[in-house]
Amino acid sequence: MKKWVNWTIVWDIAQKILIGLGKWCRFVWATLQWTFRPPFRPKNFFKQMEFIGVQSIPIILLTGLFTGMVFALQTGKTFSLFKMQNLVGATVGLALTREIAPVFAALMVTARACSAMAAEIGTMKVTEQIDALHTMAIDPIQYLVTPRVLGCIVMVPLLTMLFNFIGVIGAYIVGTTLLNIPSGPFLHHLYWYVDPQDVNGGLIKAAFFGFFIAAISCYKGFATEGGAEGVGRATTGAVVASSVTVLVVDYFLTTWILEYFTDIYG
Amino acid sequence: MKLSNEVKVGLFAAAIIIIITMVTIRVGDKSIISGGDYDLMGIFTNATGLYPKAAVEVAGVSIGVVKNIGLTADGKAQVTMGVNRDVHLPQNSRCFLRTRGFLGEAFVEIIPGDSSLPPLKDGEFFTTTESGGDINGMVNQFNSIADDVKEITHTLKGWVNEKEGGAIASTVNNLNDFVKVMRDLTTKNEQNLDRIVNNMADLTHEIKSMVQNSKQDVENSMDRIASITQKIDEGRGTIGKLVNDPETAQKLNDAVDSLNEALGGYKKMELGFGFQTEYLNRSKDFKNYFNVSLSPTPDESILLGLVSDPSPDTKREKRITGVTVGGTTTTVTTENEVLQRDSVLFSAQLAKKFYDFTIRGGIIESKGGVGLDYLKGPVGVSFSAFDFENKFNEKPHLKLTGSVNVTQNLYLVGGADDPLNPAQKTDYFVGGGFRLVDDDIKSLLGLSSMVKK
Repeated sequence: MKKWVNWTIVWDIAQKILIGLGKWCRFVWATLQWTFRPPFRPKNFFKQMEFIGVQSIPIILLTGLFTGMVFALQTGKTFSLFKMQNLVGATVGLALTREIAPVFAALMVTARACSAMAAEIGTMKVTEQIDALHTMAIDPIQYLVTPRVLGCIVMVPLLTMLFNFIGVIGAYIVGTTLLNIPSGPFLHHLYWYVDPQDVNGGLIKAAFFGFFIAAISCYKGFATEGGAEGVGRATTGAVVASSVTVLVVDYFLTTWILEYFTDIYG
Repeated sequence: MKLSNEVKVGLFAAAIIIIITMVTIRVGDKSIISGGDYDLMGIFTNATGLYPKAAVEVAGVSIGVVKNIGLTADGKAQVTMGVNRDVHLPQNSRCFLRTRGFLGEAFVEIIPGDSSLPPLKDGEFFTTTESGGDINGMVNQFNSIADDVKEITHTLKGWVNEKEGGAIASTVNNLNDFVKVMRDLTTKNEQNLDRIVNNMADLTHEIKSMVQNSKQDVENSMDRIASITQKIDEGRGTIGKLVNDPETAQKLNDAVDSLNEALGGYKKMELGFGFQTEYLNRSKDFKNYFNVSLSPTPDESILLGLVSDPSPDTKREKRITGVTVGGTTTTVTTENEVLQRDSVLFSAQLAKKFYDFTIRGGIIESKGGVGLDYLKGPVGVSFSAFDFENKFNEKPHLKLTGSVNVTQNLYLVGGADDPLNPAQKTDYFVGGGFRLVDDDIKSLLGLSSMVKK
């Protein structure tokens, strides 16, 4: 009788996934442990923050501005059906602070910085520089991973805030110039409906995203095998896994944040 | 200038902190209650569409926000409102739920009460609240109003529309014609009118002078009347005594009483006589009635009557004759139809009155029958059914009569007689009659007794 399902292959795949997940968890655990162990290397930390955060400012400004603008344009078109254009500011503001800004900022950082992390660490792995660090009695996780993860955790919320700000400016420009919404009601509704809880919830999400994307990308770099090709694979895998994780984690975090940080109508 | 990484990161972080501070101030600034607030409660029967953070307004100015909406033990909405500490609302302030815009953004409106009363304090309740109607109710109301308006305008249009014979249009036309005729009349009769006016002037002038001349006479007459009435009032003279003497009144009463006693026998039994004649259209002949009614009480009566019928129903006779020829007896049956004109029939019925209806029953025109009368004011309808015998495929004799009283005694009748008779078509009739009721008879009897004396 022909086997419809090759259970051996299924088991192999499951095993691989489970092994990956287990290794990743051990990796994360090691990272957390090394975070609180001296020697601390602030210079490394700041270097990563500069690379992840400061160098991402232009792309965040660009994407944030245009996201806000296009969002205002679309909601404005729809809301004008009900003569509710005045609520465009509030809608864009709420959407940005709660969802769009954290997710987009995390995706941008993934695309720009995390791919670089995976490639850099992967290259070090295949060129045995990691082993060299070991021989110099420097823990590679502490030296390479901890600054990156911490940098992401700190920087992604900051970039999210920048995204919020520039996005609302974009919405304001489109709203007042293209959609002819009077700026008074636009801003009034924006301030009225957007609450600190919305912004805080978004920033908390952003911090979680930062942790996940950095941890996944560094892990992918460490898991690189097989020369330049392996480095390419690791980079791709890091970006894909990070992006998907951001979107999946976003759903759960939103649920929890809506549950605990804000009330549902807030 | 080459900035170190630390400086770059520090600058970025500082910028973001500034942005966060700014945004927090802006969005956290529920400026209305930023200076501190106090809670006021309102209980509404229905808080549809109201959510936390909805505005609380006085005269269109925001003074607070809705903080919380809960449910009371008896199933009503309890709304907690945060109101700016600087705003003081008197105790009898009223609290309304309103909606704004067509999507029904709900907010709370407060109408401040008597400013002399002490202000509401933290945690106190509004005594008067009113839940706003929802948008559906409003739309429905608008619909029905629009329908009414449409109907009115439609009617008006009909009135004004000349082609469709609108009332206003035709009125205007009539007025036009009327004015035109009036104008023609006045121009044609200008001289006549002038003369009439002059005559009127003369007449009024004469009346005036007449009144002035007769003034003395009138005054004299008035004086005399005054003196006469005074005399009567004081009991002087015959009329005066008559009017003022109580004995006279007593005597009159007695006389009336004794008269009542004398007439007592008739009073109990009301008696009525009546005569009625009808011209029958088909038979081309008259049918006459003479009726006597006896009423021991107002609602019961015995009706007796004699009727001369020119076209009575045919009588059928069946005669069986035995003919004996040569020892054999043959039975011969002959049937005769006999029509006896000018036969006198009699009626005797008992009647009972219920409100405007009278039910009759007994013998009608020498046959058993029943009847029903309806009398309302001067108009009466009467229905009789009798002669139910249907041995020879005859139908019952029906009679439907309508009557109108012309005076108290005279009346007119009309109706249909015997519509079911297969031998002839319905006999329509018209006629009249007169009746004498109790009072008339009394006066007749009185007259006769006077004559006797």
